[in-house]
Amino acid sequence: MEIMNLVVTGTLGAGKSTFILSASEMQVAAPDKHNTGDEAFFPQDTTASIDFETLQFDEEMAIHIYGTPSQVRFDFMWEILIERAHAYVLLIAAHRPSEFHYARRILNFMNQHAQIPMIIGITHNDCEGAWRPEDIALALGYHNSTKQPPIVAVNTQDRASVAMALITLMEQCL
Amino acid sequence: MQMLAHGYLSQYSLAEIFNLIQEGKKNGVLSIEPRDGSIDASKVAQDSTLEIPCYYVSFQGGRVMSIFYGLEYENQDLLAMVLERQWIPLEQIKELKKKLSGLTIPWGLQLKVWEIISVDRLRLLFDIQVLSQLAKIFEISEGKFRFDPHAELNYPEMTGLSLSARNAVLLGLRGLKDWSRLTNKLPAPESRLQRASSELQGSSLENDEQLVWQLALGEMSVLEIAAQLNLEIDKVRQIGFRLCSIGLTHEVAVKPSPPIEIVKPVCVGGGNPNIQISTAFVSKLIGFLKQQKG
Ligand SMILES: Nc1nc2c(ncn2[C@@H]2O[C@H](COP(=O)(O)OP(=O)(O)OP(=O)(O)O)[C@@H](O)[C@H]2O)c(=O)[nH]1
Ligand SMILES: [Mg+2]
Repeated sequence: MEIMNLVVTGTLGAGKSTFILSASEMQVAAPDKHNTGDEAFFPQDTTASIDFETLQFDEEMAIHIYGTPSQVRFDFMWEILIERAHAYVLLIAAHRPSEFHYARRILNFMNQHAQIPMIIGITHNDCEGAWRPEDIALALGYHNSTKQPPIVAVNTQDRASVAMALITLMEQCL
Repeated sequence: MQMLAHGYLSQYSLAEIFNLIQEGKKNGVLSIEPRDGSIDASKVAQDSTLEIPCYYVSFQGGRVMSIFYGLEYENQDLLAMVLERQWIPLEQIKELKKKLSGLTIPWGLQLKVWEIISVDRLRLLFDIQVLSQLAKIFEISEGKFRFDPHAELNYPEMTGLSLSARNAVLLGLRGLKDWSRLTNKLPAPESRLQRASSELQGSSLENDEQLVWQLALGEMSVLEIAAQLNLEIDKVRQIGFRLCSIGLTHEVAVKPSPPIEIVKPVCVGGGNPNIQISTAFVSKLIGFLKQQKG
């Protein structure tokens, strides 16, 4: 079984849990029931802060998707997650500019710990007060568009939109 | 260890207890009963009627095998976790339970030998059982502990994976948010740190930890190290405490502990991060995702 570890991180309430759920719901009807992905999850009460889902899209291939703990402090769980990751998604809620600074700190933390393919997903684009993705890029310190990672708008509640974001991420892995 | 078989966390830090267990390569179960607030220690001892969930940490040869959290030890086993995830149907679980009962090796290991459960899944169970609990254990500020070297090892809950007590301390202390209880145990600003060995022995220290360790030559005080590295003094004291806790350094004038082996911790993540994802994987996934767009 080839397994890709994917980390979904982001600002508070950006839609990490929803993103992970939407991704896991893309399950194929696997011939062997106990090989499907919905079997493995962290029960909320045991880890409290970690989302975990799997997406098995082939008999021999699966993605394990982890959400970072929803707390501002970076601890060893973050390190463990990021150091095991093959790729990650950073989700940022467009309508909460006060969180952009935290997003920047996440980026720094991630960069320190791993050089892996990543994309930035901008959520809550439909909400009042949402910033445009290009403005958010500037707020994150990307003043040169050639050096920035892909920034995509994503509606985490929409499976197709999550699939689109993941395609962009996978293109980074090629 | 005998004299330390039970006590209060106000008297001994968990790091100290874990260290003793590692150094003695102990087998047994350490139970930790958290108490919120400042309850009089003598009252806690008398009042055993209150039901409080405890942490039960199983050690084998000084290594953490499993951690159980609940009111009563013994009612968690791996098969329950396996069943919860529907990895194996109930009928088969019942059968396995019969075959496994009485075995004196970790059930997870036996299930792996029988090729019923993969290492990846065992690792996930270990992450849930142990790694995610460690951070919580080292957060406990008040409570009592008890180490029972004669406790029966709970093989049904063990995956067979393990983490050295020392690494457990390192991981647990890194996750610590509230250091106030440990303040008087941190190395004093004037004290000097001395390496216990010239090698890191494969331990995976964080950047700052490594820098402090490099300067821990018994010559510079904690204050001087902080100044040199441009780090806050409290941070250096905490790092010093972590390094001392796992025996990599010691405060000068303290009798040096022998060099120790550090084992790389088992980590979260089913996939192997050291193996690159294949192009076939990526193309297949892109194909799959494209279908999802409808
Ligand atoms: N309008 C809108 N709502 C969204 C979007 N994504 C998520 N939400 C909603 O935002 C709320 C928070 O989503 P979660 O998935 O819980 O966010 P999270 O990042 O896991 O939150 P924390 O774990 O608390 O940090 C939920 O009510 C979602 O339904 C989006 O793109 N647009
Ligand atoms: Mg969440």
